Amino acid sequence: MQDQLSTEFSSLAGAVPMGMDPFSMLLTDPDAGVKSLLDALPDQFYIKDRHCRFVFANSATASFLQRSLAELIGKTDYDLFPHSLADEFMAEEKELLASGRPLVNREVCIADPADKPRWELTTKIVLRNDRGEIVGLLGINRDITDHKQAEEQLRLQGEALAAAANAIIITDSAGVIRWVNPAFTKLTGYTADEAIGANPRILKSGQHDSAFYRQMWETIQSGQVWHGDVVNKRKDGRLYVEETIITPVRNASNAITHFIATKQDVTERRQAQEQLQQLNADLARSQLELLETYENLKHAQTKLIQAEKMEIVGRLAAGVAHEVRNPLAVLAMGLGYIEGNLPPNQPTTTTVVDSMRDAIVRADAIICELLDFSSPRVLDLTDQDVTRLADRSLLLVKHELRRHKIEVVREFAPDLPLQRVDRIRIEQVLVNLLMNAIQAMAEGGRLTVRTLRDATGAVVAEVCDTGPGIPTAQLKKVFTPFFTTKPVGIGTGLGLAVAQSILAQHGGELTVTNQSGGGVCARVIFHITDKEADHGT
Amino acid sequence: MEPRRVLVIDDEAIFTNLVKLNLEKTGRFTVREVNNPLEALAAAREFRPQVVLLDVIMPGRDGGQVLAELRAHEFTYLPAIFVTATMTQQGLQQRDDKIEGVPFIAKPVEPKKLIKRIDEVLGYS
Repeated sequence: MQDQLSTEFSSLAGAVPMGMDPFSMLLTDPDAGVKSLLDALPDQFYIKDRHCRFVFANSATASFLQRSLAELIGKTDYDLFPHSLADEFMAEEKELLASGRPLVNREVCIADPADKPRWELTTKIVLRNDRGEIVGLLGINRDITDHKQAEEQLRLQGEALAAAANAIIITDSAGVIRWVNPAFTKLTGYTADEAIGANPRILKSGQHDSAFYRQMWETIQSGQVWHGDVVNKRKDGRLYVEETIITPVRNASNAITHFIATKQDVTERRQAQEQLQQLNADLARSQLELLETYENLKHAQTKLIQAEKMEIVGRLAAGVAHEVRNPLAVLAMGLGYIEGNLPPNQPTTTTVVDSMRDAIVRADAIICELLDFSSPRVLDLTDQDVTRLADRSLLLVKHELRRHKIEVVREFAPDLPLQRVDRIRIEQVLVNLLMNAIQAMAEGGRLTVRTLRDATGAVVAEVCDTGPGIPTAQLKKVFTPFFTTKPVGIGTGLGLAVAQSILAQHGGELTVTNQSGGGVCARVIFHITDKEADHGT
Repeated sequence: MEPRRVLVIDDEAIFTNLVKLNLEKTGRFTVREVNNPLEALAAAREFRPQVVLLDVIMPGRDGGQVLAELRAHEFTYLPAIFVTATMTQQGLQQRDDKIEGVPFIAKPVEPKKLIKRIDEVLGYS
């Protein structure tokens, strides 16, 4: 058989570009240089006769078909491949042998049931003898499975890019558009033909300044990913907001060759966000308004309750005043009568009468304060110099100060702005505070009266004593009506409550604190400073 | 000088009695007490007072109504003083010592002060 073949291929030299009878060389001299050359090829190289039987196969072929060369000789594809595949190959080779037309770079998939599909790139040509007759064929198969897989991968990726919902632009390193996907066209209105070769600045809306684009360009040129929202313009002129990510692509030598930009239309999302923010703001405002309304209502309710209480107290006080003052009036009248009928030189009786008169005055004072506390006040507002009011108040308690041997220190700030107040009311407050201070220093002490402007600019009058102070636990109760730290018969417990309500009515404030060095300091804070221009006259 | 006639209208009899005692003791006044405000006009017509002292809050008719009744009749120009038990501190300080143009004095009041007030109203001070 070999001989027969050898005869048929005896004069191949004219058909193949070799200067010798290749067939005899290959077969008869397996150790010859050419055979080892062919064996060294990673590609399969084989020769078949006119009946498509192997006449020669290099090592790569033998290795692929898992046969030795000796085993392969004389075999056809039917002996080596599944029937259907062999049919295909045989048909192809017979066609080749019949027509003489070479088969170049045909891709063939050889499905291996045990393994992954194998792809081969096949080129087959006919071999002729010196008479020009076709005597067989020469085939070269190259394994292109890896290449095919990579290609498949690329094809898939390309399709993915094309199918992506986000618009994608690929530009070269100069920023010229090289590729866009259909979503880009959908987003921008520009077709691929219009976009490719152009610069992405065709989308520029004019909504961003040059610094914005410069920063973008600098970021991606330095090899970093740029991410941001961009307002762009569609081909039809409409603006839209896109969320853009631009990623630089580097080649093997690490040079940036392309940029890939993915763009997502976030106009609606943006609008929704803005609406949400607006709604949030509205909600926050509504909440605030609700809170304010609630606070106002609470305040109104508190005031109403307070007003109701005061009305009751007021009615009660008026009733008590009437019922108590009438007997007091009888006592006062009676006492006056007795006094007029006293025999001379009755000092003890005179003292008793005086004590009784004091008792009447004291009882009446309580009624007065009670009425004062509970009755509505109408302020008679005039511009007043607080320092002068403090001085006048001191004058009113002059006798008490002397009686208790109290030293008075005046620290008056000059040129305080006038305050629009009810003079009598404020003097009432100051006298009340002075009397409290005096009563706290029954055995003597130092009374300091100050007028000043505090850090906020408010005018303040201070009355400070060197008495024992107020126990901390009781400090917060001092404004509670009928609360008193004084012995029975000295105070009604209404003084500070009245003083506070008078100041509140003026928009002012009253605070009572213990001083670090002992004693109490009462501060009258006037918040009326709109008369600042008028200095003391 | 002939004693001045003072009509005292107050539902508190002990009070009117003490006013009478104190005023008449001076020898300058003659006092007529009225403890039922409804009898005020009749008493005034009989007594022909030169000044009237009126309690404000009384059962049946208050001092203001009594005074209005008197002035609606032949006592249009009769000087009057309200003697009130319900005046507040503020009222005492801010009302110019008058209620609706009528002088007043607050209870409790001592005889000397009351006499002084009556003298003021009668134009003797």
